[in-house]
Amino acid sequence: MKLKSLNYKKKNILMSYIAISPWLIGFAVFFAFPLLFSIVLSFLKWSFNGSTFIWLDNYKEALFNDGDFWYSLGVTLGYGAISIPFTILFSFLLSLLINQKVKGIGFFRMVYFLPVVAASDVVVAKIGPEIFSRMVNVNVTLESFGIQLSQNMQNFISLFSTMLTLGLWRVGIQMLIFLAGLQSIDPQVYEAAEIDGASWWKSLWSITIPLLGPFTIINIVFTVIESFTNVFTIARVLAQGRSVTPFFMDYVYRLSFEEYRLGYGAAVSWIFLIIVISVVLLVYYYSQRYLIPTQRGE
Amino acid sequence: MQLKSSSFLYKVRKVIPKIILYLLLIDGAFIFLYPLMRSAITSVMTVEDYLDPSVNWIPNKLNFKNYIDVLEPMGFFNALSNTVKMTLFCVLGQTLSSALVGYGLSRGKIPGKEIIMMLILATLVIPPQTLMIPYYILYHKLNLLDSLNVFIIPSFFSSGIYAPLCIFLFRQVFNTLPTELEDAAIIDGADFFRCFWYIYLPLSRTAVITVGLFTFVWYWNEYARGIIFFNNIRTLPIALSLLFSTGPEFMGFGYTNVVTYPMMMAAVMLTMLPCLILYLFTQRYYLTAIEQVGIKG
Repeated sequence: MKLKSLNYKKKNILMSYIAISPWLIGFAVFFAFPLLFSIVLSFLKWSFNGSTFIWLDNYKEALFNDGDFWYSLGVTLGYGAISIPFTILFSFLLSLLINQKVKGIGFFRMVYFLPVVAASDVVVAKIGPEIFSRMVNVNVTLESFGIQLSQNMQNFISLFSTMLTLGLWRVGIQMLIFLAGLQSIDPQVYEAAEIDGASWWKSLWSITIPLLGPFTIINIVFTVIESFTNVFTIARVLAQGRSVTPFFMDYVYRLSFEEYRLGYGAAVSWIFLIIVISVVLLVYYYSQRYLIPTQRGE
Repeated sequence: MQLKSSSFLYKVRKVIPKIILYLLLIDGAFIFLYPLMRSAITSVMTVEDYLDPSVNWIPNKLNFKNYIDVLEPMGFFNALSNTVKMTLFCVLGQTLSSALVGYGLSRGKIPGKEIIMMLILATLVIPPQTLMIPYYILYHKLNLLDSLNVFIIPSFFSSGIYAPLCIFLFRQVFNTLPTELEDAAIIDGADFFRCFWYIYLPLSRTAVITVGLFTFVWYWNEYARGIIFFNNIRTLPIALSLLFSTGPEFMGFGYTNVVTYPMMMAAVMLTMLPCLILYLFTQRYYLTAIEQVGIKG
């Protein structure tokens, strides 16, 4: 009997390796290999007919000699620094709204999530400028305050503000993560607080927000990744290849697939990768201290 | 009398927050729907109506001709068939492979499977664009560029779009199912994969549908990788992005020519419609996806 169960365990392990083998193969071929390959590429002066090792020269070039690199990096990080807090705040407020137990709330949840499904990057970029520039036109507002800007600056601001509004339009995922968090809070906690005389505002600050801690972290990490890596699609379609968008991923794209400087592109994207990972890790570790002790172990 | 007025006051105090809440909710719904309603209305406008400032929401004449006129310049049917082919295969591949991997990580007795799961999720942090260049060279060498296979093949190896999330969802769902089922089936002589196919997969039907639906939307809307790997193949988003892209430039955006703008909106609606209809009928799967994952931190 014991022998048989041992046999069973061995068989189970074998079978489960077979079960995860698609991922093992996929990980090796479509993840680990390309990742390693791109490190190697970043050390090369690359061309389709033969490459030479130049080691760190690509990195040196990017860090010390490339103004475009720093400009697009700055813009992208700046965009993240502005859009991430807005996104988190907005999705939190929306999740408070759709967490109310009233009639027809299902309809509102459906509508608020709709843009995530229906409006793809390209769709958003096509309908965006016309429609959102009617709703918010920062340049006109600035002008009404008597601030005159150069044409380049105006272009920049209109791109930036349109992207921000478009991003806020599609916060469905973050909203649902917060909603799941809100629904995980035991209603009895609120009842107890109400008996103790806590106002709605007070329970929001002392119960809801602390208990949402882990969900906020997930949301911030998700939004960081989204806003650093995925914005470039919208920007690209918005510009329709006419003007150069200042976002970092667009810069990498231009280097790699328009100028075919693949080695240099790989080096530049590695610098960006390191920055994104450091930001995510920083967010993760610094946020741990704001969690209440019971949430830390999970 | 005293009692009556106080109960009236009580009612008022209960009703007012509700009214405010509904006003906020409706306001929000309007903001979220406005762009879509606007483009839907514009797509059935004639150019004259579109340029007429007195026409806001109700066009003088419904002009469905836009939808027919745009098919040709967009190459609609070719793009549609490409998109449908790619999306369906990828949905199949991604759902099957991530269910299988999720099952292995949930029910298998692999040492360190928690670490493997963490590793899978950690791959999400890598910006996909870092991998684009090696992919490009890899596919170039394998002669796969410019074919739908660049999307279909990875999806069968759980390396598709957001595959880690799909694997994670399946693992979480399988973890919640009781192990007694498996034990009973094993006594009856079922092996590992039979348990998966005949017991666990049918029991997690909701997860299968959720993953399938999300994958559908992700692939239907895929653009960033498409423009890198495809030269001649047009999927709907690519066709849409290239449509009438020679309009005037203003404020750094390439604008669509005013004359073709209603047609452009018709193209937008055509691209969006399948996802929209799918969502309207299956919204509860989308909206409960996060609950199914059951994240706790």
